[in-house]
Amino acid sequence: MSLLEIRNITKRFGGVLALNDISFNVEEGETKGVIGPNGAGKTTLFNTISGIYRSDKGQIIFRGQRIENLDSHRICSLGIARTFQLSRFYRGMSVLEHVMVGYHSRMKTGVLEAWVGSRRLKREEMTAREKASQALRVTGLEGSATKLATALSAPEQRALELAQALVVEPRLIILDEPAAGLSTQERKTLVELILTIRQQGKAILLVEHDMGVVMPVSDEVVVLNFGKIIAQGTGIQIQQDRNVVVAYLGGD
Amino acid sequence: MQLGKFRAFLIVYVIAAIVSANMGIWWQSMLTFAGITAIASLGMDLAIGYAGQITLAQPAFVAIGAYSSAILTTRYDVHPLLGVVVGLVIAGLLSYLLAFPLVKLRGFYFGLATLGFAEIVSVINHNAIPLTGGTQGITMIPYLSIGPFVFDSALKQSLLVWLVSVFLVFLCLRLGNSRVGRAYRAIRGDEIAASVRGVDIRAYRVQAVVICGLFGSLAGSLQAHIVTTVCPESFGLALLIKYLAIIIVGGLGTFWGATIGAVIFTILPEILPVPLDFNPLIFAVMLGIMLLYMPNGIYGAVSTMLRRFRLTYIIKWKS
Amino acid sequence: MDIIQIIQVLVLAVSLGCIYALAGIGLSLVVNATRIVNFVHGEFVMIGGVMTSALYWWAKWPLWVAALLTISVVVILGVGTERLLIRPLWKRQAAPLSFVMMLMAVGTFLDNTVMLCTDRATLSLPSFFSKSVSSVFMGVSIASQAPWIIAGTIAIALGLSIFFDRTLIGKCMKACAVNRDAAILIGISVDRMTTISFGLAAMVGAIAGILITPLTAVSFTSSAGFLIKGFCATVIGGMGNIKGALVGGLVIGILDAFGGCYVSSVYKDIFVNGFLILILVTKPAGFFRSVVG
Repeated sequence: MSLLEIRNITKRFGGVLALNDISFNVEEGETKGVIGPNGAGKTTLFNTISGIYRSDKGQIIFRGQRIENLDSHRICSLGIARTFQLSRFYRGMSVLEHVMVGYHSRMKTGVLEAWVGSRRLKREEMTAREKASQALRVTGLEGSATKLATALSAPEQRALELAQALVVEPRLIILDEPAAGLSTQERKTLVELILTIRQQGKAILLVEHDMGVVMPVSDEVVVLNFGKIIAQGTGIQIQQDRNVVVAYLGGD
Repeated sequence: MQLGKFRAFLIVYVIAAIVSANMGIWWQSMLTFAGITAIASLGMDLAIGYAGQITLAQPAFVAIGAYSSAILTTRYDVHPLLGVVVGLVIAGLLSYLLAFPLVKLRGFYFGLATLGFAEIVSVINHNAIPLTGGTQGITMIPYLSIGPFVFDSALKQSLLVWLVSVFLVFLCLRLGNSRVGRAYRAIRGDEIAASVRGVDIRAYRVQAVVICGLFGSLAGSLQAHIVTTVCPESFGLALLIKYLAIIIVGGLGTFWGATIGAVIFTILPEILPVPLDFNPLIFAVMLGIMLLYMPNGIYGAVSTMLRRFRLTYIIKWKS
Repeated sequence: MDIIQIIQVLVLAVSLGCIYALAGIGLSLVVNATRIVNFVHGEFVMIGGVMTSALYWWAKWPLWVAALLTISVVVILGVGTERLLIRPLWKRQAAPLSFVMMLMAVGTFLDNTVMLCTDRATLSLPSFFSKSVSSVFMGVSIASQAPWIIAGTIAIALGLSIFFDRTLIGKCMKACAVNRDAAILIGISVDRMTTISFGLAAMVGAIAGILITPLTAVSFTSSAGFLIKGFCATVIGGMGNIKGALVGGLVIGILDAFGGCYVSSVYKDIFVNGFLILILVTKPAGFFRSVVG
C-alpha cells in the first residue's frame, strides 16, 4: 500500500478543467517531483490534496484512509504538511509563535485549561516551544525566533514556511516551489535541507521549476500539463520523453 | 501569565478600590457602569479584536442576560446568582446555535446574520409584553447578593463589578498566551493557512463567538441587578456602536484597551456639554476617526511609544 | 379568506418586494465592484424617503424638486463615504472587519443626524399618482403608489441591465466584479469603478426610498430594516445578480406583507430576519448564479 494514492482526481473551476483525471502514488520515504509549465495545475493539485479545494471526482487515499472530503486541519493532523508558494503569515505574530501554531494539532489543551493554568498546559507549552525551536534550528532561523514574521527577508520567509511544515513531524511534506526567489547558493542549501528531510524517512512531494533543485532530490518525477499527467518516471526518463519536450519548448 | 502578575493586578485593584471608596457616589456609580461596559466590551474584544470574527449581536446577549436575571428574580423569586447562571446558559446556547451553522460564511455575511439575530431579540424585547414587559420593561429587580452580603450601595457594586472585570481581563490574557490564543490570532491572520497547519478554524470561530456572548450576558445580568430596571431601549444599535468604538479606541485585541475604552466612553458623555441624544453620533465619529488614523487604538499607540522610548533609551545608554 | 383582501395584500407584497429588490440591487452594485457589503445602504434608502418628505412638507418644495435634490445629496453622501472613508482603508488593505466598523459608524452617524434633524418624526409622502392614498383598479381598492413602484423598479432594473451589458463603463464594472486583479491589468481604473458603484447604489437607494414613502412611512429607524431586507433579497437571488434580486425581493415582500397582515404585524420582522438566517445557513449562494464568487 502506497503512502499516498491519488486516483482519478478531477477538478473544474467554472469552465476551466484544472485537473483532469490525475492518478499517481507516493511511497513511504519517496521524494516525488512534480513539474510542468505554468498553469499546468500543480498548485491546484496541492490545494486539493491539502483540503483547500474539494475535488469533483476521484479519491485521495493517505495511509489507507480516504481524505478527499476531509477538512484541511484533519488532513494536517493525519500527517500531511505543506508549504505555500507565496508565504502566508499571521500578522503581528513572531517567528516562534508561527511555528508553535504549526504544532497546534499535536496539542490538546483547551480554553478551560488555559484559564486555570493547569500543569498539563505548562508541560505542553514547553514541549511545543522545544519542538518549535528545533524546527527553527533545522531551517536556520533560531536567531530570528522573536522577530515578527513579516520582518524576515525573502529566503528567511521560505525557511519559516518549511519550519512550520516540519514542526508537526509529518509523514508527507508538500513543498510548493520552495526555491522561488532564492539565489544559487541558497538553492544549494535548500537541496541539502530537502535531502536531510528525506533521510529522516519523510515522503516529499515537490513542485519546482528549477531542475537543479528537482533532479538531485527526486526519486521519480511527474510531469503535468493542462491538468493532465503527460509523463512519469525517473528524472532521466522524463527528460528524454518527447511529450515533455514539446510541452516545455513547443512543437517543432 | 503567572500568579505573580495576578498579584500585581490585585494590588492595582486594591489601590483603586481604596481610592474610589473615598470619592463620591457619582464617581462610584460611574465606575460601576464603566465596569459593566468593560465586561461586555471585553467579550467583543476577544471575538472581534483577537479572533477576528465579526459578531455584531452583543447588545442582544447583554439583553438576554439582563432580562433573564430580571424575569427570574422578580417573577419567580429565584436567587440572583442562579438568575445570572441561567442567563449565561441561555446566552451560551443561543450564541452556539447562531454561530455553529453560520460559521462557514465570510465576514460580512456573518456580521449581517448576527445583526439579524440582534433585531429578532430586539423585537421580542419591545413587544413580548407578557414576557419582557414591552417598552415599559421590568422594574424592581432585587440587588445581587452572595449569601448574607447584599450589593446595595454604589461602592459595593463598583467593587464587585471591577473585581469581575479585572478577573476576566486576566483570564483573557491567560488565554492569549496559550495554544487557543495563538489559534485565534492565526485565524485572524490567515484562516486558510491556519487550517492547513492544523487549526480547526470552525470550532475556534464558534468558540470565540460563544465566549463573547457569555461575557455579554454576564454584563447584562450585573446591569439588571444594579440599575434594578431593564427596558428594551438600552439594548439597541447605539450600544453596539459604543462597544465597537470602545474596542477600537482601546486597541483591538489588547483586553486592557477594552477596559480603558469602557471607562473613557462612560465618562465622556457625562462631561461633554451635549445632550444624551448626541452620544451615538459622537461615538460613531470617534470610531471613524480612530479607524482612519489610529487603528491600533490607545493601547497600541502607547505601547508603540513605550517601545520607541525604551529603544532610544537603550541606544543612548549603550553609546 | 377574502379574494379581494388577498389581492390587496399581494399588491402590497409586490410593491414592497420591488423596493427590497432595489435595495438588494444597490447592495449588489457595491459588492460587484468591491466585494464589500455596504452596511450604509439602508441609510441611502431611508434618507431618500425622509429628506424628500421633509423638503416637501416642511420646506414646501414641489415634489420633483425635493426628489432630485435628495437624490443628489444621497449620491454625494455615497461618493463621499467611498472617497474619504473607504478608500484609505482599501489602500492599506484593511481587513473586512475595518470596513464593517467604518460603515456602521457612518450608518449610525447618519441615522442619528436624521433623528436629530427630524426630531424623531415619522414621515410620509402623498402618492404620485393621485390625491388619494388608494385607487380602484379592476374593482379592487389598492394603494395608488403601487404602479409607480412597480414601474420604477422595472425601469431601473432594465436601465441597469442595459448599462451593464451595452455600455463600456458597465462592462468594465462587471469585469471588476468577476476578477479585480485582471481588470487592473487590462487598465480599468478600479478606483473609479468603485466610486461609480457607490454613486449608482446611492442613487438607486434614494429612488427606492422616495418610491416607498407614500406607501409606508419612513423614519430614522427604518434604515436597518432596508439593509437587512435588501441583503436578504441579494442572498436569495445570488449576490450581484439583478434578476435574482428581483425574485429575492419579491419573496421577502411576500413574507413581509402576508406575515404582517395574516400572522402578526408586530412580529413580522422576526420572520424576515429569521428567514435571512435560515437562507444563510442553508443556501448562502442563493438560488441563482451569483456574479461574484
